[in-house]
Amino acid sequence: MTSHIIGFLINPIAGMGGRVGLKGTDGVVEEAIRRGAKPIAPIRAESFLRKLKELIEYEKLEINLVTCRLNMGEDVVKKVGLKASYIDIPKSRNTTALDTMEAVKKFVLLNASVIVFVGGDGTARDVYNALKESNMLDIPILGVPSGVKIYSGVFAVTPEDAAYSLMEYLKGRASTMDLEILDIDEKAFREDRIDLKLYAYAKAIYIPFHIQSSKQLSPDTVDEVENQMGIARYIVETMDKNGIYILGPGTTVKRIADLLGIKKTLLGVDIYYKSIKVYNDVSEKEILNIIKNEDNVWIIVTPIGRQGILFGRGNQQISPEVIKRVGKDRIIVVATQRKLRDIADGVLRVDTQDPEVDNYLKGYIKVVIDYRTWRMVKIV
Amino acid sequence: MKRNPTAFLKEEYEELVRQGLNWTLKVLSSPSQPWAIVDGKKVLMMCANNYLGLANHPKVKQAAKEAIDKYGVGAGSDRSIAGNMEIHHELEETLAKFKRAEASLVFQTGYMANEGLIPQLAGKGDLIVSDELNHGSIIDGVRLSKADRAIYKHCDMEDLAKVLEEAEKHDPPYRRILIITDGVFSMDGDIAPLDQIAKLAEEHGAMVYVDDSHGEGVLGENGRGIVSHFKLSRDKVHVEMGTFSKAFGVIGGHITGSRDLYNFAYNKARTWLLSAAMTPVSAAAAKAAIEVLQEESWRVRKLWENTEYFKKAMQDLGFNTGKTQTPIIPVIVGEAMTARKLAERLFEEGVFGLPIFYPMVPRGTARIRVQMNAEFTKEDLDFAIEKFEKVGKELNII
Repeated sequence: MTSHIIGFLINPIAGMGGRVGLKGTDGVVEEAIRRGAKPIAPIRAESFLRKLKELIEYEKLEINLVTCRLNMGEDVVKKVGLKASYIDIPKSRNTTALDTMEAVKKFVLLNASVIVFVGGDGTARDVYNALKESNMLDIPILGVPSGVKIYSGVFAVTPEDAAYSLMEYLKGRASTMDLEILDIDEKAFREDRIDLKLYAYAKAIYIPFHIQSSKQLSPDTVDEVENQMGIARYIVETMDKNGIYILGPGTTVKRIADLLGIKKTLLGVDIYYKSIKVYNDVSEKEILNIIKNEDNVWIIVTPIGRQGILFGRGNQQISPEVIKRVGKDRIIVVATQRKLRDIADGVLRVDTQDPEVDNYLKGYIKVVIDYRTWRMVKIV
Repeated sequence: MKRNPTAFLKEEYEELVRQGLNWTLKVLSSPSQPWAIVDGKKVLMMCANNYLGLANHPKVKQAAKEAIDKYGVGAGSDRSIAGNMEIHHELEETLAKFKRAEASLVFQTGYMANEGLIPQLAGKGDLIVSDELNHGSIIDGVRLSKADRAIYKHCDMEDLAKVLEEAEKHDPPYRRILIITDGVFSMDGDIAPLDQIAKLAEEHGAMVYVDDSHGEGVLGENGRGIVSHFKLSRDKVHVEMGTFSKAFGVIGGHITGSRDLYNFAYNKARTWLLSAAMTPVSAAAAKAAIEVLQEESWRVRKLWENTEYFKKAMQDLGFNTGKTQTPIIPVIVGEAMTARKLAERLFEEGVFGLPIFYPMVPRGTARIRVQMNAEFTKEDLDFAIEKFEKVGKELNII
């Protein structure tokens, strides 16, 4: 087996704001420290590395770990007792986003075949941007969650899960797929406004979804793309030709548009109008305008990110007003089986900024999970 | 394009080996019985479905021998054409009587019963509602159907109720709704709440189908199965599916219910119609097994005594046996590597248990699945418990 080069970095300040009520550390590190914030990232990194060490020892696998100096890798890697080589970043313990980006670029130059980072959504965004600037978006990434608020799909659910995923990837048992990076404006967030956009889709490691079945002593794997195609076929078969369909962002919904042969933005909201017309990247105002005086209106939406947020994150164009106009019975939720599995607690969440609409949406909702296949999932 | 027609055989096998997902087959050179010869070594058999010890019972074997003398070894044809023998009907009548049902239809295997019948019970315009942990043969049967499918959380009645409520909103209304569940789930040994399922089904006019492979000969009055266990009537549980390969110790499957079900099934199920009849040897042996079960009612009692004894001892030692309610006792150890090592070491010590890990069960819940046997003596169980204790301590599990 060829030995993979793993680029590993820690954003040491990720997750520090949370316990002191700062919701993120972008631009307020000193304030967080002043309030007594303790670093969380090293603890998360240690959990990840300990599990990784245990797994590679068991699998007797040689790995080639490349990491940063000081608190961006070295401290924890040495504490855990893993062998690694080091790049000369950062220069001091007061790290910034720039260090993350420089480190990623250095990993690329060293031919890293995968980049693992400990951090939050902001770190994911920085890693993505560095890869983009290096023109190497083909290198898969894996997030070890440490931020205050983590919405992006590129993160494993826990540090230990991240170690499993990495191991599966190194052993050729995992593959890669495009998963979301969400971008939150932390300044707005601290002011209790949520302004979260779907920032990009990055190539991330994912473990194929094995159907877990009692007595079935052989794994039955569901391919993510095939699963999305199955969903798309069922939706297209059951669509009303005279209906107006508001299509939310994401790859699963885009697959439906692909099957219909219409253009759809990956990150925006689009409208498929009575089988004759498509409106791309529409705003809330445009949506309300198009559906004014119409009653055959539907919303097709997939939960965003690993927190399973259905409305209010990355699709704010589908506003409380739009949801009220369309009605809960005409919301078609689609999600692959892997996506549902990866959502924390297995429940969906809504945060439309309108408590009345959030309450209206709560309860169970039908989710199409494959061709002609659905289940009921709770919205909390 | 130049094709290599068979390269994938080797490639895909090797891929399975690389992933550690291939099966390495162990060979028995004795009957399946408490002490069996496996890979040349005498071991305590703790992973067989032969719960009542009927696989090697003298009366069952005798019946098989007599059937060979009377009928030969094969039926010669499909039952629909020229392979329908007296012994098939005798087996069906014996079983139906035992089950206190109108009729039972025998299939060649349980797998074929599920795969053949399910797609006939629900088709286009219908809905099949299935527990998320149902057996692969149910999943495959459902796949062959043109019906919509709804999956509900394992044994979660609130979730099932929501699915049925939602189903009523479907436009146009679903013509038929079929709820399918395993009776006993074999990874955890838990029992489906069939009474509550039947109640919910009744409210929605849904049909109830239970696969009682692991409950037959185990649950209910003298092993009559899950329908008897919950004291339900046949108009509440419409299809009881089962096998002769587990507690009955032979091979074959069946569906049990009304005469209407019988007539419908043997005219529609393609696995029944298009495959040769169960051998007369198997039919005679299965019939004898049902009779022995009734004559030797101590077997079911002993199975449960052994289950309680072993389970308690394991729990006292500090092992996690999960949520089992049946003679399937999972010994949950956590990591896959621990389960593998435990199974290996136990085998060296003379105990044969099956290690099961992700993706068959969720990560972190890898286990040895132990299955009880009515023929285990107290000495056998103490032997197993002692070995589990020894190896469990060795591997820091307890």
